Amino acid sequence: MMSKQMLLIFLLGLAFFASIIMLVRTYRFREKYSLLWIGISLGFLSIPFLIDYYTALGKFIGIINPISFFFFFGIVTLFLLSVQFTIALTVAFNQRKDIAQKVALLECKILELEKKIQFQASSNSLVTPENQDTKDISKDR
Amino acid sequence: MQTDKPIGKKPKAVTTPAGALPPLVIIPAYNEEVAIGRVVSRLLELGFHVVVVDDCSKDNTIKVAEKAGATVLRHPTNLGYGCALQTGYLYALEKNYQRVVQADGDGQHEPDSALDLIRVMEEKNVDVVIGSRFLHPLNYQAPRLRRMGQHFFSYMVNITTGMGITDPTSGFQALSLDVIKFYCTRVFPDDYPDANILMLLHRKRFRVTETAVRMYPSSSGSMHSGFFNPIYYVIRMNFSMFMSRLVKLTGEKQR
Repeated sequence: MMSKQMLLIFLLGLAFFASIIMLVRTYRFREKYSLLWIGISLGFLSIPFLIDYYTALGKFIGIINPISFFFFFGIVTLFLLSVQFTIALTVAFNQRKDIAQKVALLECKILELEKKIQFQASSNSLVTPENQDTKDISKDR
Repeated sequence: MQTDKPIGKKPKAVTTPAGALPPLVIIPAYNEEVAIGRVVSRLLELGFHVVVVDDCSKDNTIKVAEKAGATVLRHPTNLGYGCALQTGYLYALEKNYQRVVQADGDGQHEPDSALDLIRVMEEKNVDVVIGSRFLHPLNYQAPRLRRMGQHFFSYMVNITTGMGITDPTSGFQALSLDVIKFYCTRVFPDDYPDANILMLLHRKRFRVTETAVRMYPSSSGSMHSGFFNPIYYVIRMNFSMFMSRLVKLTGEKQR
């Protein structure tokens, strides 16, 4: 029979696992970044059933108290997650920057082309101030 | 585009009703300068329209593709194979192509087999035709580990959908406009569009069939090469296939 603490850990793990699945299911989490969270929630779920193995592993590396063992690995896991997300954020920023710069350069090209077209149109046709019907396209931005 | 049919020979070009657009071939490309020119040229000879979606290649893929006559869409940053495919789908949707073929630009897919994909799609009136390398007697043998992976995914797809697909990881496919519309939503798994896609198609009740196509060894390296990449891919694909059974099928439009 599971103790109250183990039951709580199991239920929390189950809730955590279900939340991750729901977030992926509704496209609020990308699958790529959810794998690690799925692994963590499965780790939670395994605690009540494998507590003896975890305790033995803790003793092997010199951690006597099982609670300290889980704290230690919890901190390491959070650290690794932070590193993963920092990398993802850096990549996303670089991509955003590249796109923004390309958009800026493209906008400049479009304005130059519009000026060329306007100039060619005005030099090809007989345009007087009375029958002029031009539109300042740049103001649309 | 109507072409003259040589007497006594099978027509070697796609046939298109007057006033309609020929099928579009979408080629997502990343560093494919070696083979892309040849692939594009042959497809254009066969009467297809071709769009190459360049995923920020570092070589001359864009120049070679443009010189060969393809329309080229350029990603300003590298987004991956799935995103490049989806960009192609968005282009097809915008231009209202009724029939689309997706193919690789590394020379792995025989361009002439695209005709078979379109022909089967029209004859059997289906939404998706998958080009299977395992149904063609002359195809090259992939490395053993790769073949094991392909058979494993085939087993997983067939046990859940009953579709009887022999080559679920084939990127050589013909798609109808309805499927393209479906793919232009958040539902499309742009990380790894592979065997998981078939499960989504099955849930959405699209008609899927297979036909034999000719394939060759790729001229560029596989994205699954190395030691960790295949392991990561298997884990990711299994998870993705699991999620394909659960995700909402009414994803918002991509744009």
